[in-house]
Amino acid sequence: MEENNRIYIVEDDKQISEQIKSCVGEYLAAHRLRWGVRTVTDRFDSVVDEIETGPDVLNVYFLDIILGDASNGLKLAQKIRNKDTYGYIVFITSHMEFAFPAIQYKIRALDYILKGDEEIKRKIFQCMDTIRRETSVKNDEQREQTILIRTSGTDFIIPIKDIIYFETNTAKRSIILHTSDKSIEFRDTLDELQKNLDSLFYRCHRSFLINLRHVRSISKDRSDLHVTLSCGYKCLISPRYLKGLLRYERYHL
Amino acid sequence: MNGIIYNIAEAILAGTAFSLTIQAMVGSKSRLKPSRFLPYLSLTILGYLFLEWVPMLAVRVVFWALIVTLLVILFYHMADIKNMLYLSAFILLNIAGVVALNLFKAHYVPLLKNSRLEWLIGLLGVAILAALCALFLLSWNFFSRNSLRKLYRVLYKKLANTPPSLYVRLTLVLMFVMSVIGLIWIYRGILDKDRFSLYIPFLLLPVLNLFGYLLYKLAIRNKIKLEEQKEKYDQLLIYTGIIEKLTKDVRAFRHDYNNILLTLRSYIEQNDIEGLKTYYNREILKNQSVVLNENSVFLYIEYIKCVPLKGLLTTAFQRALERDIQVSVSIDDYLDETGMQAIDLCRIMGIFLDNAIEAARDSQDKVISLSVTRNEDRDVSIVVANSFTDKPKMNLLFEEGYTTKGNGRGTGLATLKAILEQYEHVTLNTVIENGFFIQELNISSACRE
Repeated sequence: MEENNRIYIVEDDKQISEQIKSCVGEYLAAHRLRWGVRTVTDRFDSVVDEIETGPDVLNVYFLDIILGDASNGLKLAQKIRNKDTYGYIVFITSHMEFAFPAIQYKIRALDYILKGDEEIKRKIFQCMDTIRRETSVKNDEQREQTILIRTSGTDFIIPIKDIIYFETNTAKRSIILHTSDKSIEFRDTLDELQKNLDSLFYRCHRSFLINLRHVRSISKDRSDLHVTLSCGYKCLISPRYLKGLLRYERYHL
Repeated sequence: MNGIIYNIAEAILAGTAFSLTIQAMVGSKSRLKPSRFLPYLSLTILGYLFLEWVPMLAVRVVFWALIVTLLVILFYHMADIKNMLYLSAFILLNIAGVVALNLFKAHYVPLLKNSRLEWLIGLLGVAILAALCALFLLSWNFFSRNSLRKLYRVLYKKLANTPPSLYVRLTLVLMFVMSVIGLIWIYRGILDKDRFSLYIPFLLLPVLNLFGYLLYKLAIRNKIKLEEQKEKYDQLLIYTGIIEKLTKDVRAFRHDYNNILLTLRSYIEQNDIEGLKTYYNREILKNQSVVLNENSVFLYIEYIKCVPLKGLLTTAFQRALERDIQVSVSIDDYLDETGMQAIDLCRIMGIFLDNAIEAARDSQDKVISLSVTRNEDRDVSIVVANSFTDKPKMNLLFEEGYTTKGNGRGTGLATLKAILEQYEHVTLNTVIENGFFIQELNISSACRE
């Protein structure tokens, strides 16, 4: 299984490419990992065709964000991200002023390495540590259940337990997912979502699908029926769905 | 005796329809106020009765000319698609009234030899009438059943969202059908010679309807054009102002540059390498990074093809740089047609950047970064990320009046939400991640065509 893991180093500067390769090699040797390493210094777009993805494949990309003239590193990163939803992307850049926070979010990049930085090795090790830590959790028996949300922009991988509730945006016929630090709008229906989620999601209203793990209190006042969730979110309850919610409350809260 | 009862019934029917229409056009969508409703009603009933007992053609024509003028004026001022629906309902209600009355009249004379065909035409009229009446009533939320309201919303949205040309075509078809049906009943009215002039206005109404609509469109288009021009002019002023400031900066820099060279020469002449080093590190490196940074930010502006947005971004960056905020920009493709109105896109970006600048200014890192990307499907994604100190509460973020910045300033994001409701192909993601507050606006290309 481990042999399937691959590290791609995509960088047009041979010197930097070698430097990263040796750092990565050192890390792999130190931890007795047998991951494949592939360096690409030209014809970058071919990388995308090479990528193999699958449930037991882990890919890590060290990717220069500015690649020559012909191939923009950012576009390449987007293509890679489209093909490999769960891979790890680390940017290599020489520009501090590059719009990194926005790009990092957009590509879901792990981190970035500054060219010519003296601590480049430490940074690479740090990235590899993070990747190994996260993937070892993933391979665990009780690995975290996640849901992949595809919006018209960025894709999100959200742990099921972090979802607080879904709501429909009636005016636009879209769904908004709320967590403690995200609100994500995408196209779907609550019925479809509920089919794919576990039994701890309860439809308490035509427009709300709540995660019962996050229920804090239920207001049973007939004129003001609502449920309070984590982070202070409030959702309406339809009278006909109140019973089911109370039944849950009796057993679990 | 029967004749008088019929006359009164017709007068009341027509009066009701007419006053409902006027009421709808004058405003007050939600409730019928008797104070507004009654004058029109009584006026119309009186008019009808007056016409019944004063059979002079000239007087009738004057009366109807008055009503027609009133309608034209109303249309010129407040016609829109909804009013068109009301008016259509009005016309059809009247036609229905005529139909009903004629059916009961003793001197009913079949128009066509084939009475079955006549019945069919009558039924068609009633069907269209029923549909329009339903719309008419639904527009007041007359029925609270969800399915019906949904139907209305879909139908109405369809009408409201189709470009005018198509709508005009639709109206024409509708009007044509109505006119044909109306004509038949009017023709019948001719047989009943005394009542002929009563029906003339119904024939005219479809034409007037269209006329009023076109007038309205024209007025609106002129208004929009003027507004657009003014907006462009304002943006240009801002833009030129910024360019002026930039030139001034460059001039100042050149001046500094000369001074720097002179200082360097003095160090070199004295062979003071240590002094040179410290001076270089302390003064020159620092300045250089600032200048480079600024340049790279403004370099990207050329990718933005929407002039108002160009102006807005330039001012925002300028403002951010003045507040010592590190701005970084990455735009990977030309941003031209987005399927959003320029003014709305600008308002949204304005809110994003205002909030970002305000939050970044008070934060430790003082960072704002903006990226505009376009994927293979030509969906545009605009991301604004900024550093912050007070973590905003996600559940309150879009509520009116919520702010982390003290009282009375939290309208931005609520406004943003209202703007976005109009665009089905635009979605918003709000994320707090890696210590950054991130807003992502996704404009999908699917609905642009």
